[in-house]
Order: sequence, then structure tokens, then C-alpha cells
Amino acid sequence: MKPTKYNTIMPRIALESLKLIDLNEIVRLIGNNLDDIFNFLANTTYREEIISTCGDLIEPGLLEEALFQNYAKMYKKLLNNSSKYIKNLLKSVLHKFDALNLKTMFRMVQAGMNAEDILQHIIPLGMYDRKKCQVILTEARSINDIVDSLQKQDFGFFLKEFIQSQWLLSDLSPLEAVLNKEVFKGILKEIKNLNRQDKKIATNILGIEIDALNVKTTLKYKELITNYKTLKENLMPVVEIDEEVLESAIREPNIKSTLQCFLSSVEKKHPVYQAIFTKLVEESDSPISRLEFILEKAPLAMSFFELKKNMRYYNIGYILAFLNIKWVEIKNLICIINAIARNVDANQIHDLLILPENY
Amino acid sequence: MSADRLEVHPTRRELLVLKRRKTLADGIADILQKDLEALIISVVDHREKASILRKELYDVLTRSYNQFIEAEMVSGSLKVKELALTTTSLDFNVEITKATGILGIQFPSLKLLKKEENEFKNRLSLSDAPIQLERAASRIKAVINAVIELASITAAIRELLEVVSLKRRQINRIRFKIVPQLDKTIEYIEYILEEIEQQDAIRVRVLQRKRKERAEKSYETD
Repeated sequence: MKPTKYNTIMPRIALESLKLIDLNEIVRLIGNNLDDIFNFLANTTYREEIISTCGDLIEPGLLEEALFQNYAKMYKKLLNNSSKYIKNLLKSVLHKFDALNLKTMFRMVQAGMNAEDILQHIIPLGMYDRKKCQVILTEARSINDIVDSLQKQDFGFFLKEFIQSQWLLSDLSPLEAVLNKEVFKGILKEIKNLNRQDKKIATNILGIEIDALNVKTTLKYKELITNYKTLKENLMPVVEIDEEVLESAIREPNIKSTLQCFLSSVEKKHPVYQAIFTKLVEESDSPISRLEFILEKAPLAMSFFELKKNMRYYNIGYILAFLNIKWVEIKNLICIINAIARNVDANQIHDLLILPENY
Repeated sequence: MSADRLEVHPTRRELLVLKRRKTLADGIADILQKDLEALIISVVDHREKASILRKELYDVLTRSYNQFIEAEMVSGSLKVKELALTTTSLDFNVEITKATGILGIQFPSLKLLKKEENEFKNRLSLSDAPIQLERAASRIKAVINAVIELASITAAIRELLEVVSLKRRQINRIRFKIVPQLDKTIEYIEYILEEIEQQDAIRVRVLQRKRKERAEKSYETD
């Protein structure tokens, strides 16, 4: 991508970065009550969404929704300021949230819930926002109806094909897995359209997210002793950790050996992969939730690495790193909000916040 | 407790019958008291069992609830609520049968009837559900047996307490109503019989005196 192509998006990223909340201030929120958090957020970039969504009622669900709305607004600004290939990539990344909303609709329609209740669980992100979902749900009585109404849109065609070919109505898992796969295939496809440098950076930042997802699924399989077929269905398109490595890791007898298998496969690969898997092996005796937490940090670690490495040039790394940081900020705020609502101990909250290694 | 006396004829025969009834009532009260003691021991045993089970249950549920909160912190309350609302519910039923316990009392016995299910089939989405939620759900699943057992013991305690209360009422009725009533009636009959005896004695003495006077009079006229 030519530097001129970054003319509008880079100032926007710089502007939005300035609006990020200082990490120390987020950590200081631990121990406050929901009113204090509301007041704090009302003086930040989240002000507009917090006030319009919550009104007089301050509860975790509404605060979460306001945070998502803010993310959606920021994402929209970035899309408007992006040029063709960056825009396409950002749109493909946004499909993750489309898939989440579609899965929510599928699950809730199958559970026999009404449209009003379903809409409360729709994340205001992506093309399937509340308005669009309301239109779909007013006419849909079953999953087939939903898929029929999507036919002309992005996921409609392949979902229809999948349902007709092999899907059993009772089990949503394959349908959800195929939707996730399509999203990540779309992201990898859009990465290919970028130029050499951007392609490499985007593959690393978005690729580690997909790989981390596959490792998480494998660890869950090991922990929950679930169906092998379900595991295979839920493995996403591979990036750095290929299918062969995944297969041999799955065959390993325990979690420690599985992680060692992953570590040996990334020994000659990217240093962030090495660092992440070394840490995973070191902590392999910890509960799976801790290992998942380490994997959760992987995209952020990769973003920072790529930022430092490619600081001299305009590149897609800035955009993806910013998106990751913003998402982590929202996740941390959600963590604190829910913990405070449930009177969780401050140390436990601190342990579940996604913070830099040396914080 | 004041007791009314029974409406009976104050005869010696009736007195004997009442005394026999009193001895019988005292015997029954003693037997009932022994039953009551056995029942109370059984209630205490059941209560101890229930207490241990309840503590274990609360421990598991607390751990499960903590995992649930952690899942909310990691994935957000909206996602957890959505997954909770849409997960397939556990398919099970409870069969109620009767089991014979102490003193032949019939307790309701609860038995968990589970449908044959695929152990490897996940109830929650493998990709979307946080591991904490999976853990919380599996703990709850494992705890159902303990819930059923606790319900069974609680039902037995309820049944035992009802029988204890019934026995206590029976004992009280005998000790504080029937026995005092019999005592009062016996006392009354004894009193009446004594009165009759005294009147008879006076009457005999009067008759003897009159006879004596009549004899003296006829002697004088002769």
C-alpha cells in the first residue's frame, strides 16, 4: 500500500488513540461502585453512548452495550476514512461481530425466544445491527427463515447451501463453526490483497488471533473431553500453526505435552509465538482459564511487536494495533463493571484484566 | 390440664374396669415414649447426614457460582446470559418410590432418572462459551445427584417429624387427658363407694339400735 493511501486513516487513528483511557485510570476503577464508573465513563470518549443508553438506570448490561456502541462508532469512522483494501480488510474483520449476532439469533430462535428478547442480546456492531435484526426476526420463525432472509447478503448463500447439504436441525454447533470459518477465510482472503509489507504485518497480527483460537479450542477439547468431530469442525483456517501440528497436538496425552508440541512447532517462527508458547508451557499446570487468558493477550503482544518493528513506515499495523488496544480497553472495562456488580475481590479483578506483561 | 370425670356408674365393677384401663394407658404411654425416643434419634441422624450433604452442596454451588461470575467478567454479562438462555436444558426426571424406615414408617425415596446422553456432546458452544462457564455448568450437572439425595433426606425428616409430632400428641393425650380423667373417675367412684359404705354402716348401727330398743321394750312388757 502506498503511503499516500494512509493520508486520511492515519490522522484518524492518531486522533482516536488520544481518546483511549489511561491504563492506570482503568486499574484505579477497581474498588469503585457502578455509579462511580458511570461518572468516570461520562467524562471520557464513551460519554455520548453511556448517557443515551443508561439514562437513570446503571446496570452492567446497559454499560456493556454503551461500550460496544462506542466501539461501533469508532469503527465506522475508521471505515469512512479508509481506502479500498484497508476498508475491505476492516469490513472482513467486522464480520466477526456479524457472525456473533447471527449465532445469537440462531440460538435464541431455536430456544423459542421472542424477537424482543433476542434484540436485547444483539451487539450493536457490524452489518447485523438491531434494526436489521428486527426486520429479519419479525418474519423469521425458524433458523431456515433467518437463513432465507440472508440469501442476498454476505453469509446467506453459503449458509443456505450448508443447511441444504448436511445440517441436522437439532445441533447448531456445525452451523456456528462453518460461520466462524467463513469469517476467518474472508479475513485471510482480504489480507492477500494488501501489499507485501502490510500483508506480512496483517498476517502476523490477525493470524495469531486465529492460531490462538485454534489452540484454545484444542485445550478445551483436552479439558472437556469433547467429541473429536466437534473439535475438527471448530478448528479455523490455519496460519502459522498448520493442520499437521494441530493433529499431533490433539493426539498428545495431556495438556502439558500438547503445549510442548505447539512450542516445538513455533521454535523457528515468529518471536511473539515463541514467547507466548514458552509462557504457556511454563504455566501448563495452571487451570485452562489461565492458559486461555495468556492466549487472549497474544494479538495485543503481536500488535505491539509489529508497531515497534515497523515504526518508521505507514502500515496497517497501526490500525490493527489500535483496534486491538481499543477492544482490550472495552474488555477490561466490562470485566471491572461485572466484577463490581457481583462484589468480586479486587485481587481477582486485577488478575483478569488484560494488562501489559511488565505492568 | 384439668380433666373431666367420665360418666360411669359408681360401682365396684366399674372401678375395677377403670383401674385396668389406667394400667393399660400407662403401658401404652411408655411404649409410645420409647418409639418417640427412637424417632428423635433417627431425626438427629438424618439431620446430621443432611447437614453434611448440604455443606458439600453449598461448597460446589459456591465454586460454580464463582466460575459463573468469572465467565461474566471475561465474556460480559450479555454473552453469558445469552448462552445461559439458549443452552439445552438437562433432561432428567425424578422417580418417587416408598422406602420402609424406622418403626416401619414409609419414607418417600427420590431417584434420579437420567436420559441416555452423549457424554461427549457439548451443551455450550465450543468456540463462544468461556471455559469458566463450561466448568460452572458441568459442576451443576454433577451436583444434581446430591440435590436429589438431599431432597430425599429432607422428605424423610419431614415424615419423621410428622410421626414424632403425632406420637407426642398421643403421649400427651394419654398422660394429660386420659390418665387424669381415669384418676378422677376412680377417685370419684372410690369416694362414692366409701360414702355408701359409711351410710350403710350408720344404717346398720341405727337398725341394730332400733332392734335393741325393740327387744328391750318387749322384755319390759313381758
